[in-house]
Amino acid sequence: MENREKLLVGVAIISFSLAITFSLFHSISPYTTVSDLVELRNAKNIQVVGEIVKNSVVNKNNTTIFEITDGVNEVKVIYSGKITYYEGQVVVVGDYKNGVIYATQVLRKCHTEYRVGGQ
Amino acid sequence: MDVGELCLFFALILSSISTLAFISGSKRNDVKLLKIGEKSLHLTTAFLTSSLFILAYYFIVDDFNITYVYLNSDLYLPLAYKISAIWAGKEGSLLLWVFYVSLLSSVFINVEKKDINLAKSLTVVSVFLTSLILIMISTSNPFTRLGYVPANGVGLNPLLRTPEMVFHPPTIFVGYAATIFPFAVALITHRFKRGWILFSWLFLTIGIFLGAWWAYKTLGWGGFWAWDPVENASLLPWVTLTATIHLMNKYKKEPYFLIVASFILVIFATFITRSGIIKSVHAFGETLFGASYLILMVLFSGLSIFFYFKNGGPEQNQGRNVGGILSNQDVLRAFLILMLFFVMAVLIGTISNIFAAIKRSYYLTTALPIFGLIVALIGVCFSSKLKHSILVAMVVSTIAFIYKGFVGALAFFVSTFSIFFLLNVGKLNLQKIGKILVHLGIILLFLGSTFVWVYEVKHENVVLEKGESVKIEGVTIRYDNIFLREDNEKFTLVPLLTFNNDQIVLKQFIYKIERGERVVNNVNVVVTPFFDYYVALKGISENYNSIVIDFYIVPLTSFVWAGFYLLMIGGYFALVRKS
Repeated sequence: MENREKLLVGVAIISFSLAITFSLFHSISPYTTVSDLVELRNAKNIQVVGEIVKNSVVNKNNTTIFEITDGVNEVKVIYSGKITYYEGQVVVVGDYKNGVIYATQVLRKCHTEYRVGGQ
Repeated sequence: MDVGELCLFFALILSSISTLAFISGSKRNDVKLLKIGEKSLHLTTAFLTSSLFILAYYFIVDDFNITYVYLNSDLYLPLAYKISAIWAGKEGSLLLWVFYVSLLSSVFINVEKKDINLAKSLTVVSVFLTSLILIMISTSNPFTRLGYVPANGVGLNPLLRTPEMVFHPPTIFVGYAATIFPFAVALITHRFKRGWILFSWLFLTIGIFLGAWWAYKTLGWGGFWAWDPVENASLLPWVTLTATIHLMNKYKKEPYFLIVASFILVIFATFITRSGIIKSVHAFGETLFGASYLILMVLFSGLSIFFYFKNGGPEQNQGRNVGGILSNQDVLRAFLILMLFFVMAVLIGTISNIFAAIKRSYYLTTALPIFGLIVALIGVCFSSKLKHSILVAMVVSTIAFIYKGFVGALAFFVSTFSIFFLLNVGKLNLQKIGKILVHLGIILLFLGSTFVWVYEVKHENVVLEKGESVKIEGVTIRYDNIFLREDNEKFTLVPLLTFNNDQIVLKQFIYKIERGERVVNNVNVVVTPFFDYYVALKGISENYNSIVIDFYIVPLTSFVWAGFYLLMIGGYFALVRKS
């Protein structure tokens, strides 16, 4: 490689790495556990991982209220939509205010989850 | 011990024998030993085939004493899905992968020229095969039994009860399994097996397409690609294989490391999907046996570096000019760097998923622009009428700017500019036609996916009360009525909707199985040439008086599918060319 070409490639690599780093920091939102959450009072744009507490799901007028747990603490979730599953691990996306998560999205473990049922 | 398990043990013993025979046989150039190696490899294939059939048999006769059958099937599952349930879980899909590796090894022995290099390559293959069988027996044996015989199984995950999911795993695993052969040959001889590389590439393409198609038709989030770690993991080896195909006739060093990367990324894909390391919504299992795949990755990376230095430094061939703006060599170098950038961006995003959720915006600001530049290179490489192509591209992109905005204009500029490569194709033969179709496909795929990712219109949680019309985005939707059907395996709720003046139906399936996920809402797509109306059912109220839908307008999906078709057809033509 000629020197000029080397320089060009070097500049490209450096600027691309910067772009990736910059973009990553703007697109990342860390997972929170329920126990992390109860120590906070308010939090915006969080992703909370937890198990749905059994028999806690109430669907009413297209709003769903349920609780999630990490095995230690539980927290109430109000979701302005319907969910059609009643157990298992979910990721709740939304804001946390006065002990309640106001969810904009509830994601569940998708098709690729393997261990269900018996074990 | 179960018969199927016994077959796995025999397969393990035989593939170990073949490994030893190939190692010492190729060292001493002992034909007798090599013959033993070949024979035991063929026998390994026979035993793995038997265990696959035995597993199929357990599914067909509903032997719920087998844990894996219990967890993935039930009495009322249709036969086709009982068979596809073989690869619905971790254990079965590993068996499928191992089976393919050994079957293709048997093919590999028969189609390749028998010499010392083949023997050495087979050593690499059989080491890999033996480790996979060992991992399967020790961490995900599909033949373990329960202590009792349950009356019924918990059923196949309802989301997997689609034709696409019958074919997606068997195709993508062919692609995965085939990467070991060009890898092994490159390690030993520094040569690149065009046929095997294209074969693997083609099957990965079909597999990725089926996965994307399934996601679009089944999952109800209005897209075909979510930059989910599992999807990314299958994309990465595809990208490095694509780069290998472009560079293997011109260089030695670069394609060597690209084929190594492809193979390592295949194991990485397995690691990502099986280790449970990604705690997101899309993670596979919870076992930490994924460590064994990490060991494999380290082992084979080490081997490839060892062989790189052992077989001496690389020689470089110079590329020939095809008449574009830049010299062919410059374009190839730029192409390689861009492909590596793309891999870097996707890989970093995928790994970051271990610690946090990564938004789509990350990929749209890193991987997508790189994709655009790669597509632009097609034009740069082949275009001879620069002025014309830029002029036409400017006109087209101005129109796109007026309709959609800056990103759309940019995407149309790049695509239109590059599509002028068609004017400079020269004399046609089957392989050339294949190449043209593939590049056309990539341009369409770029244009389509950019529009889907950037310009999709989304209305979430639209509530439809019975009899009331709702107007969204110029479309009138009314929920008219609902029907209930029942068969052996499920209840089906069928809301009838009037969509503009047509009648469409949505469906909610409630399966009579003991799984966490029993309820599946389906999707209805109203296709028009330039965009899809995408209606996904979210829920139905208890008194059936209202339903909730997500409504999307997805632009240029037809371009995405057309792009995939061209990739598959073109890849096939390139593969079957007369050699």
